[in-house]
Amino acid sequence: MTVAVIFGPNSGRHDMADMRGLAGRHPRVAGAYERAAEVAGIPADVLLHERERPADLEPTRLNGVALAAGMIGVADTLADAGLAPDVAGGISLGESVAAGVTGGIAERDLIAALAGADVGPADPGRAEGIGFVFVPRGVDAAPYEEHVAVDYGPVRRGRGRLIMVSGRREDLRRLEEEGPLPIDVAEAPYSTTAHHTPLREHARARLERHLDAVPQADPQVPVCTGLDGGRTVTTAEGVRDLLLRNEVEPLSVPGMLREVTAHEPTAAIAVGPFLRKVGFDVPYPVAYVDGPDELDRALETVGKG
Amino acid sequence: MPADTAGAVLDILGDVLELPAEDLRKEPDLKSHGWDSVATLEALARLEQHFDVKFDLREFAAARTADEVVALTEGERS
Repeated sequence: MTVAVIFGPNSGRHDMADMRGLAGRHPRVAGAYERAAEVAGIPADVLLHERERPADLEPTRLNGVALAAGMIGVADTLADAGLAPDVAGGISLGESVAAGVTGGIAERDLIAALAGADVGPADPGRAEGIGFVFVPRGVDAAPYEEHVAVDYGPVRRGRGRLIMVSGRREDLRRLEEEGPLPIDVAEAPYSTTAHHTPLREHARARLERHLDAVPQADPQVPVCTGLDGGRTVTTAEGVRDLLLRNEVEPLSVPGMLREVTAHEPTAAIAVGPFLRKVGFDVPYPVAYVDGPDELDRALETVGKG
Repeated sequence: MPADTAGAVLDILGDVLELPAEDLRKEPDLKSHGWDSVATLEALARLEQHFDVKFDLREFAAARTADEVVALTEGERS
């Protein structure tokens, strides 16, 4: 069996119930939280939302670390059961996790980068954010193209296209008022910056300084990214490029999936929240691991439950 | 509210949730039919397009039953 493992994006609004369940049942997930807590300086019970978030800890930063730790722990559990990826992919935060799980960047260095990320807007006086728009089939998506951060492509059996838009909130508001479709704009404090746009240059620069100080390595298996409309990364230089450009350039999920599919997996495991709602239209079965029961089922299929 | 408006809303919701509109009459609780944030966004977009109305997104997202969505649509059309 050739296994693709695909990791999901961050969400400042996520409640972490799935990861609490996973950490409670799977020691490798709990272990990933303990390690992340030590590196990030955020207690594991805060990462898992078992304790109130400190007022000065932004939800985006908290959940970036927390979801990365959880997805790493799930990947560890899968690998123990013989389900290490033969090819990895991801969306947004998931691309960075894919780079980490495959050895492109050490877990410790990845978590430190996420904990130290700049999650503020380019200009403190001009608020930024993200939003989601569903473009029904037959409706022109042109008004949204300029603001695409993540193109999820056709979703819900092709009835429409899901786009994550991002930018300055004033522009998102204008887009919502003038465009033909509603936009679900994430409210502050759950979304404090744009993503995957040149507005994130300051975050890219901070990450670059971090990456200058830590090693990157050739990933053990190919890592597929949604950058450049879909590309496969196989070198340390490629990992660095992926991590940096992920901050400032838009991502294509159909492009990432095309790259994964080109490696001819016989099955895929989608790790993290949100991916089930998107649903991958690929010619091989996909198991969505977004909770303890779902992970148990994935493990049972290979007799390691 | 004209009966055809309710019928059209239920048809769209049924299409979004991939079930017959009749199922929503029997069990109007949307979550029991797989209603999630992406389904909400799809329904919102399609209802706005179909009826040429603009919903308050927070109000729409707070709807828990098909009847509430019908009522919201009725309110926007009146």
